[in-house]
Amino acid sequence: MAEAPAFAAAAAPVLEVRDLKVHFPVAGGWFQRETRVVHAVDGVSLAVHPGEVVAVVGESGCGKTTLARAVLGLVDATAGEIRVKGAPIIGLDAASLRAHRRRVQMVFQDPFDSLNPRKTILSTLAQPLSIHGIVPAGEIRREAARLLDLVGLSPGEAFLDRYPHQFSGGQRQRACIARAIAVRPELVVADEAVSALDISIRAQILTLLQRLKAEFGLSYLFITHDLGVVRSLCDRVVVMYLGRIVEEGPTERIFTAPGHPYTAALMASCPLPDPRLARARKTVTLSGDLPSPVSPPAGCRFHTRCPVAQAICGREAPPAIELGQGQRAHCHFAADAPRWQAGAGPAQESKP
Amino acid sequence: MSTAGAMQAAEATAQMPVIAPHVPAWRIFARNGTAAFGAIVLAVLIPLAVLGPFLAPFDPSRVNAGPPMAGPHWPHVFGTDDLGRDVFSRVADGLRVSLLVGFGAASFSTGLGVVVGGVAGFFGRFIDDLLMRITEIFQVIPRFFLGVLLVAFFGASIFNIIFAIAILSWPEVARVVRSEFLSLRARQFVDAARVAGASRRTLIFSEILPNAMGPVVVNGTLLVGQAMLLEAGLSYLGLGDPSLVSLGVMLQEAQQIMRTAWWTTAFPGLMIFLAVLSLNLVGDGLNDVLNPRSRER
Repeated sequence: MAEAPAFAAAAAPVLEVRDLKVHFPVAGGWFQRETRVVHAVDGVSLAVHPGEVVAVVGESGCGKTTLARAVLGLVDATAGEIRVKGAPIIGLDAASLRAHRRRVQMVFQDPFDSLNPRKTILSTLAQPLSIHGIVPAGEIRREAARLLDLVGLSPGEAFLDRYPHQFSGGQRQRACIARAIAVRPELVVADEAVSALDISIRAQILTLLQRLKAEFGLSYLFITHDLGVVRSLCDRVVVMYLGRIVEEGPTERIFTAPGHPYTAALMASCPLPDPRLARARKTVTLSGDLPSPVSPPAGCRFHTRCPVAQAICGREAPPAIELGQGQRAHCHFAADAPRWQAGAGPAQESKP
Repeated sequence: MSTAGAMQAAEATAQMPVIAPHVPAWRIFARNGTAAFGAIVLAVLIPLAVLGPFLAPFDPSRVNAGPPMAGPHWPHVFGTDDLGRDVFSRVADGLRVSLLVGFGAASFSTGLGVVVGGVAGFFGRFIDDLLMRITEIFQVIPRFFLGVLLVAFFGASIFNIIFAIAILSWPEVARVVRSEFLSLRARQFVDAARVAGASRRTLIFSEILPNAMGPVVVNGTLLVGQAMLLEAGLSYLGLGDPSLVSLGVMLQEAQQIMRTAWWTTAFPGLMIFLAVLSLNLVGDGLNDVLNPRSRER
C-alpha cells in the first residue's frame, strides 16, 4: 500500500470530480438584504481509479458528506464537473440519472436510519433490483437471498421477511451493503459507513467490504474521520479542510510524511495504542475552531489556525505542490515540511 | 489457524442469524391498559350503533312506546322522554348518527390534510409557503362559529354538517403531515431509495407516507371524538339534521325536562362521554403501536 497501484494511472478513472463547487444559500432574515452562501464544497477535484479505495478525511463540517451527496446526485452542484466512467452526471434528466445510479451506489452512515422501518428486507432489496431490471420479477426473492448470503447474513432466506427493527446495527449495515451491491455498481460511496458501529463489528464490516471489493472489482470512495479505518482499507487519502482539498496522496505517505500542517495535526490527533509512542510523539494541537464556511478566510483557508503560517498565507491561496509519488499538498511551505515538522517552524518570527 | 481462517471464523460467528422476534401489534397495544379499556368500550358501542335498529327494543321515533317521562324501568332501561319515546332505542340510533358524523368528518379532513400537508412537505419552497398560508387562514377562524355559519348558510343536512366539520379540522392534519414529511424527507432511507433509482411517486407513496401514517391515524381517532363533540354542540344549538336523531339532538330536545327527567340527558351525555373518551384512549394506544420506537431498543 506504500504506492498507488501501478495500473491506476493507466486505466480511465471510475469517478472524476473536477473543480466541484456546492454552495448552499442561507436564508437570511426578512430584513437582510444580501443572501449569504455556505461554501460547503469549494473547488474540489479528485479521481477514483478502478479497484482503488480513496479516503476523504477531514473534521466535521469540512464538506466531505456534501461531496459524497453530490457524487450520488443527491445535491445539485453549483459548478464543476462530475464524471462517472467518463460520462458527465450533472444536469442529467431523470432517466439518465437513474442509469447513472446503477453505476454508483452508497452505503449510509447510520444503519438505524437508512432502512425503511416499514419495509421488510426483501422489499428494500427488491427496490433497486426491479427498478433497474437486474433480474426478472420471478427471481427477485432468490436474488435477494443470494445478496444477503454474500454480505454474511446467512441463510439469507431467514432474513428476507424480517423488519429492520429485528436486526442489530451490524446486521443492518450488512443489509445496506447488500442493497448497494444489488445493482452491480462500479463505485460504492461509503459515508462514515462504519463510524456508528461497535469497534468489533466495525472490523467485521471492513473485512466484508474488502472481500466484496476483491470479489466484484469495486472501487470505494470512503468518507470518514476515522484514521484507523483509512490506514487499514484505503490506497489513497484526500484531506479536506473547509470545502477544499489541502492534501492528497498515497495512504502511507500521508501518514508518515504529511506535507500540509493540517494533515500533520490530523495525524497527530489520532490516538496511538502504545503510550510510549504516544509520549514520544510531538503533538501539534490546533487552536481555535473551524472558521465559518459562510465567509471562509482569504488566501489559504487554514492560515487562521496554522502553526506555521506566514504573511503570504493570508494573501494568496497556495498552489498544489508536488511532493512525489502522487502526493500533493496545497501549502506554500509544503516543500519545507520536514523542517517545520522537526519543530523549526518558519513561522516563529512572524507570529504575533 | 491461519489469520485468514481466523478472520473468516470471526465473521462467521457474527453471522449466526440472531434475529429479534417480531412483536405483534396487538401485544404492544394491550400493554397500555387504558387503551385496552377504550378498545373494549368501543367494541360495545360500535356494534350497538351499527346494529341499533335490530337491537333496540322499540322504534326510536315511536311516540307513546311507554308512559311519558318514566324513569329507567323494564323494558325501558334508560326510561322514556316527554313523548313516551324509548330513550335506549333513541340513544342507540343517535350513537349511530354521531359516530357516522365523527368518522365521516375525520376521514374527510384526514384525506384533505394528508394531501395538502404531503404536497407542502415534500415539494417545499414556494408550494409549501402557499399551502401553509392557506392552512393558517383556516386555522385562525374560530372553529365553532364558522361551523355554525356554514351549517346555517348551507342547511342542516347531515352531509353539510360532516363537510363543515371536516373543513374546520383539516388544517391540523395538514400541519402534522407536513412536519412528518419534512423530517422524513431528510432521512437516510429516503436518500437510499433515491440512490436506488426510485421515482418521486415511489418516494412519496412507499417510503415517506407509510412512515408518516402513525401520527395521522392517531390524530384521526382524536378527530372522530372532536367531530362528535362539535356535532353535539351544533345540534344542541338547534343546527342538527332535523330528519335524524343524533346524541346532540337528544340533548337539545331534553333541555326543558332535564330537571325532572335526568335520564333524558344523562344517557345521551354518557354515550358521548364514553365514545369520545374511548376514542382518545384508543388513539393513545395506536400511538404506541405505530411509533417504531416502541419496537426498537
